[in-house]
Amino acid sequence: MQALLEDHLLVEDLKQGSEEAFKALVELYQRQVYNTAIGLLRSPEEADDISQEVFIEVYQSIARFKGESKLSTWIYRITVTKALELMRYKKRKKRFAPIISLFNSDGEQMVDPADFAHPGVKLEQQENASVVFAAISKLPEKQQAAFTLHKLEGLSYQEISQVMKTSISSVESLMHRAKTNLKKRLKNYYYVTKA
Amino acid sequence: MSLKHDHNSSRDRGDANQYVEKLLSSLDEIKSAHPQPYLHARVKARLSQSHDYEQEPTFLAWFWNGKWSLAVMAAILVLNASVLLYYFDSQGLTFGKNATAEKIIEEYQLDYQSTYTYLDE
Repeated sequence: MQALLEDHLLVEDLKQGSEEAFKALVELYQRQVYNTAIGLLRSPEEADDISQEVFIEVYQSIARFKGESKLSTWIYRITVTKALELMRYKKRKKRFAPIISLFNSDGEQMVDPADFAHPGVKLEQQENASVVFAAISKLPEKQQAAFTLHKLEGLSYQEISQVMKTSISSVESLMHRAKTNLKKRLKNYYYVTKA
Repeated sequence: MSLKHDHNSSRDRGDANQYVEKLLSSLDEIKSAHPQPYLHARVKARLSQSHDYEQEPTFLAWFWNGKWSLAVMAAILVLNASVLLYYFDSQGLTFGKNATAEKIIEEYQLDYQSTYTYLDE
């Protein structure tokens, strides 16, 4: 209740254009935004860039925030949307990379973060975690979003349904499929590495 | 072949399940990662850049980004088409099948009249 009241006051101050309120908002939500972004994008640089874009969007769109959902839910939604947009853009770019490289020899390097090491994972678990992150990156984007929000951010299915604007049963279904697909991929990885 | 054998062996299936659980548990104790410092300052810098841009847009940026550019371009196209039509009309040029047929009939009538005039003379 206290947090809701604080959020309400913060939003009111932001709508008045308070610089202090904006600074407080960034301080309060930067970890949430960055962690969600890094979990989905598996790149610290891109997560940092998306974090900036999320707060710019929050600053520019706060007048349209009606308070129908929690402020954190709204910020999660913006983060997931921005991260998925970047993922789609990268996919498109990857698809057309051979054609683009024909015309642009100085083009930027396409980075595929296959060996991503999450900074929050213990050192002895880094190798295992990078295999799991590589498998997560192969899931359909909605499954990735639901799995990341649940597993890395600890959101409940109800909270995820509010972030993704869907029903709880859809989130349950997404999570079930995500887990099944992940297990299937990781099992295949086990058999291939063992063979 | 050995791969197929591994899939069918219940012992290997058990090992695979254990391995998968071990991999997935690597995310259980994950801690939150810290963003780069001074995120607020960087966001503010980007916001001030976009504000400057909004305050002093170049004419080209305003023209190409705004809906007015579409309206102006459409007006230019309509004006060009009107001038061309007026020019063709003044030169006696016409378009379409019917117009061509009319022109042939007109020419035929002229020939016919000139022939008769010649005979009369």
